[in-house]
Amino acid sequence: MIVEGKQICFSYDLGGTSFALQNVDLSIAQGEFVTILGCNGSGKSTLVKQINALLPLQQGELTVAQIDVRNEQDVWLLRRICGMVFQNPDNQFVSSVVAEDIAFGLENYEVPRREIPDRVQAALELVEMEGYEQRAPNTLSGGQKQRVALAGVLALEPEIIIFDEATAMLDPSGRQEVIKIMHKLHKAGKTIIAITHYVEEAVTADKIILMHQGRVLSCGKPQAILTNLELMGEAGMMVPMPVRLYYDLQQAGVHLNRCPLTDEELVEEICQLRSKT
Amino acid sequence: MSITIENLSYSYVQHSGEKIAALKGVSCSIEVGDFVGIMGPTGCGKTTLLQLLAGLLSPTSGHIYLHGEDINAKGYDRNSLRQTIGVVFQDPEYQLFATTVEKDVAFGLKHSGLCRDEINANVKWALETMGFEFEKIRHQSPLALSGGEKRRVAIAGVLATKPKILMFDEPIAGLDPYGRQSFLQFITQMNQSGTTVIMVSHNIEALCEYTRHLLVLEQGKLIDSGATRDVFGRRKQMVSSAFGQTEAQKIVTMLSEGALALSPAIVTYDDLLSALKQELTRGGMG
Amino acid sequence: MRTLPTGQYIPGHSLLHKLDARVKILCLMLFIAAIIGAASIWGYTLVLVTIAGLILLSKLPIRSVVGSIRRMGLFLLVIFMMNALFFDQENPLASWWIFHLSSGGMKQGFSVVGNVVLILMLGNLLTMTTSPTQVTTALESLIKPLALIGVPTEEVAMIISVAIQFIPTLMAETESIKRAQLARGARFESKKLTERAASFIPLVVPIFISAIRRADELALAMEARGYRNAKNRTKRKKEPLVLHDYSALTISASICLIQFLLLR
Repeated sequence: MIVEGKQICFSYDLGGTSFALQNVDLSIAQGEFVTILGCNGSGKSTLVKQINALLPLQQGELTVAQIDVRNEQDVWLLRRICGMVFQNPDNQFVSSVVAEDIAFGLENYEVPRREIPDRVQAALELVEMEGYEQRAPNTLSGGQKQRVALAGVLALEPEIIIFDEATAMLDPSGRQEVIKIMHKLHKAGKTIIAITHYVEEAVTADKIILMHQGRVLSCGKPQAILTNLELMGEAGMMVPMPVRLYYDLQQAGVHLNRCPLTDEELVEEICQLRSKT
Repeated sequence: MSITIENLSYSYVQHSGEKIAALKGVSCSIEVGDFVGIMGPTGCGKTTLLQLLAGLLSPTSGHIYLHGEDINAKGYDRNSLRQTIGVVFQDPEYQLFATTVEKDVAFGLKHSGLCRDEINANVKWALETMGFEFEKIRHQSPLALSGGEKRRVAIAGVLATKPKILMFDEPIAGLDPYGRQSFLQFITQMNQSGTTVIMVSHNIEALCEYTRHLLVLEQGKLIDSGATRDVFGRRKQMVSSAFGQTEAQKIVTMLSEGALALSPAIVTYDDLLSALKQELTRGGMG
Repeated sequence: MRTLPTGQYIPGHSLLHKLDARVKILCLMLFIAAIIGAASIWGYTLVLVTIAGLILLSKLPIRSVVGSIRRMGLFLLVIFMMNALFFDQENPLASWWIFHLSSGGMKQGFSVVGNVVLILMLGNLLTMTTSPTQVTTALESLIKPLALIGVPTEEVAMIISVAIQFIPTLMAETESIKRAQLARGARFESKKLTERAASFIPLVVPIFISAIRRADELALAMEARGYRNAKNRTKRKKEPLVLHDYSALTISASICLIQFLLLR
């Protein structure tokens, strides 16, 4: 397990009356693609900020790559291993030149000057933005901005990459760009933790953590969670359209073999049923 | 208050010297009390059109007629335009600035010519429409509220002038499912009480389910307009990419490749459900 | 889209583009001294000729260098009038109330406006031939001596760099907030001065809050990327000065010196 957490609690107001996180257990294996799903205020963002120690661990235990997040001297190592892309594309840049912004993280870790250009180039290639080295980040589209921000994270060669609602402020094509790179990184062996409230993005995950009001409602494979109407309803999430169709058809007496999660699976199930006549 | 747009064009010059044509010769009309959606990829001119309609920009050429009068003609009462048209831009909570909620909401009424009592009444109505208890919220600082509350106060600020036409620029972007649904229901309620609503959005499903008419923009040109169902029907035939098609339509396309032909008139989820029920219970399945 | 009052950076390969940014900044300061010190026709001619030469060397269109100055027209007129009307109360050509038009005043007016225009043109030449990054790196270098008196120069340099990067974003946001407030019925063109000042509150307050919010988010992002302080970071490459840099410095210093000699 690359991330192991037990009974994590967190409160933003130190009087301790309202808890953003309550008794959260967390377990993520290396190379897993985990989606944390839930409404605004469910505690998703608070939870992931504990993983790279942006928020201090108040109660419970949490180790990331065998490092205890409470060890202050290991914080910098932790943040190199675990990178994060934030929601607002504009508020992540420190420089008006793409190549320099990507170099920022490398400079923070005192990477020798002569190694920096190659690592910047490699990061740009990973996000498919070669040729944009001298551009100003504020002239790019939303999806491009997020990819540059991601490149800045990838330059440090992290093991875990957290996407904190990184697609929420993007238009549909920008979202597709970022999701495509997420999957590419996953295939290359990185552990991906993606926070979202777009249910369609959770369908391809290895594991879904469903959160509601600071608690983990459920944790499991997409097939188990996204097809559970009560659970999803409790979390304030809408099920994917194919799931909705499956249940509505069932009520009308039409029984598909299994509950499909994607449009493709739905079409397959319908055609299978059709061919039985 | 019907709106007629005649050959509307808008260009501007960037500081690099380049001339950008944001809108090219758009013509259409919007009836009183309609719920119109504006759809198109980023950069197609949606926001520019909205700003022109709200009188925030002057067209390079063409006319906008509000109830028969050209809003850009000399002598047109700009003040009454502000009171008639309300625009809610993206992330409206960022425009809050006053010391109390009451003052912020009343801001738009300063030049309305209404008396003190009428202004107070409007502010109370606007806040209550947005689900607040007037006495509880009126003296609070708008900047100390939660994100969702801030947004509702900002919209109350736009509603305070009791506009006959309400325009929304990407109102549900970034909201979670509950947020989206309740917002769209609120907009529908406003429309049902007689307000003309114009909504710019990326969200195809929202446009499909809630709007009655659609304007489709691409690269500054109006490439299609009409009843929502009809426009989506035509998108399916015209467009090779999946943009501008509802999920139901995409499923129908995939099914037709799998040798199950459903009616091309299917646009919404309910259409698809009924068609599938019919198809799959024929021959007594299940 | 509104432009900044200073000239926008235009990439190129002229001699001016190749000069080290630190040298350019130092030369600018020397030239400003030279301009202010120019008291005679010969002094002004020297400066004008030099600037004309620089514009040619930069291979930039004259239109762009001079362009932003036209926008300052009203401001320059005000400076001229202030000098022409208040300078010399003793020997006025014409008087009315507190205004005393004098030939000395007009000469002074011309002189001041002339100086401002020349300095602006030089400033433009600097920003148009130097990328924002080069400017900030140069500034970082030049303020290093301040570390001796306890100024945290690396942090200041980081602040300048980040702030410059945010200028276009904040300007765009000011435009959108202005639009939103106008749509709500705000008025920014009131005749009364006090009303006009107050009308900027709906613009200034939201932008202020926005800037703070952005700073908060950026600080978090910087920490997530391993930033702890400005000292323990890979240092920038130090480009050595070459012949044309030294020549530029020498020439600027000489011009400055000549002006002061001419003053006597």
